[in-house]
Amino acid sequence: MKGKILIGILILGVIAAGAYYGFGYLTKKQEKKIAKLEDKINFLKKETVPMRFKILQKDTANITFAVKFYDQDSTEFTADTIRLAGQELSFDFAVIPIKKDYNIAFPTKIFTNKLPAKNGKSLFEYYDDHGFPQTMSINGADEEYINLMTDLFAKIKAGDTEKIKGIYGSMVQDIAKLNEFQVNHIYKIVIHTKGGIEVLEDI
Amino acid sequence: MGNSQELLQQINWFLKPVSDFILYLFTTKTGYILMLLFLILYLAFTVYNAMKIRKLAHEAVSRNLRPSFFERAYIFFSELIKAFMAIISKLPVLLGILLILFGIVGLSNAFTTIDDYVANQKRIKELQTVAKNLDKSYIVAKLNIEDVDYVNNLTKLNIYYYDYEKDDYLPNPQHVEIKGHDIYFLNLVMNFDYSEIETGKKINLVMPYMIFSEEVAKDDGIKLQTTDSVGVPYIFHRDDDEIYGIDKADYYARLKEFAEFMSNPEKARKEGIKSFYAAAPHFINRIKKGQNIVVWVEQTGGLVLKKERLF
Repeated sequence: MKGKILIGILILGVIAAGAYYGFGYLTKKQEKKIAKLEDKINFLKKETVPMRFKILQKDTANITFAVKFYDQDSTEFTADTIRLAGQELSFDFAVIPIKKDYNIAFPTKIFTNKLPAKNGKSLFEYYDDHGFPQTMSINGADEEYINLMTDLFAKIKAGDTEKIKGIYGSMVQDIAKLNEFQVNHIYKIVIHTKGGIEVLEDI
Repeated sequence: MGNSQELLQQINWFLKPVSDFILYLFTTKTGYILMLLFLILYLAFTVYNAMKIRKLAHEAVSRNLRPSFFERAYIFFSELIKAFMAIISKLPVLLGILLILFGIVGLSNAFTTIDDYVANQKRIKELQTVAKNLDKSYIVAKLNIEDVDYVNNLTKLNIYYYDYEKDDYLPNPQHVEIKGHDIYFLNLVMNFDYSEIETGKKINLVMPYMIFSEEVAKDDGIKLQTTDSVGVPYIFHRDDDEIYGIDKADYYARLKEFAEFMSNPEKARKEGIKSFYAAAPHFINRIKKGQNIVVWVEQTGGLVLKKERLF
């Protein structure tokens, strides 16, 4: 009787040990998968803000606004006040897919509802740091990154975009009567890793 | 699976505290001290009992008779040796008890591991849904370049709006002629908070509404015809399985609500709309006759240009 009980306990022990180690191994694999999924989600949600602006004055003829530029570490490096003919502001960017689901954007110009895009105000001078685009500056950037950004920026400035694979333009603006940019409200332009550009109030 | 997991959790509810106590006794400093104290107490009581019995035996002979020092020392050491010998003789039983105790620990750990496995599987499914919903993108329209004249700087294009109910472009495109060759395809864009997108409750909405170019200012642009006979934009049409868990009639009723959000930013924010603006992706390189430019809306926000899906 005692022997049977002992054997029963032994079998139970072996099953429990098997379950423990088997599921333990599977759980470790699951944890790696969870970490990978969380990284992917964080990457998809990653945003950079190269510009913020505030409308200072708006009338039937012109619009005056302050604009600030930021690098990848969210450090402001320059600001200016600009006045253009028109009432709706359009911010134009050149978007480049660097790799799958990873896109970068260079601010190109600002124009308005009255000003056609070809007469818009060029933005290159605000972030041109001896050929390197300051909006792409990031702590710990290696030489490869710096050379790549400098090369892309040079091509965009020169209008030599045929050599950049997948490049396209993307403009964002407010909507008259429906959702205009309000005077003295601060707005930010958000670049998503998948290439979409968004403008929203910076509350 | 759910019932088995509940049963395991119920059993483990009892086993875990017992297992934790056993581990505490055998793997922590305090546990060792407790067991040592217990052993010392056991030995102390054993020696004390033996001393008491011998003392009573002496008093039975004479009230004033007491055990001598050597007798007490002899009792002390002999009881100690007897106690250790008794422990050694009971070793198989003790080992058996130890086996049972660690069996309980093993069983509890096994149940906890199974529970963790099931919880992780649920988490993985949730994260996969979130990643899938955030990674989604939907076609807005296709711009087919019918002709581009760089001499006179004129572009002719056909705009095909995507109808999700038909899962294809509408057969009759809108034909547009415009000065310039960098075509800005302007859309109203409504982006929802990530929390709404992740669960699949909402999708970012886009309504094409105007075309202009590098030569033509927006105020002089061409308005687009993008709605069906009842005024619903084609891009809002959805196949039944694209409308997450609500029926078609409710879905189109919701579209009327969205029209309200356009004029009521406070209400829009409460409904989880994080941004409402206009966006125009445009092809900045030299466009060619016959080229197709496809505009997509990303669920992470904003509009992009991507290659056409070709069979």
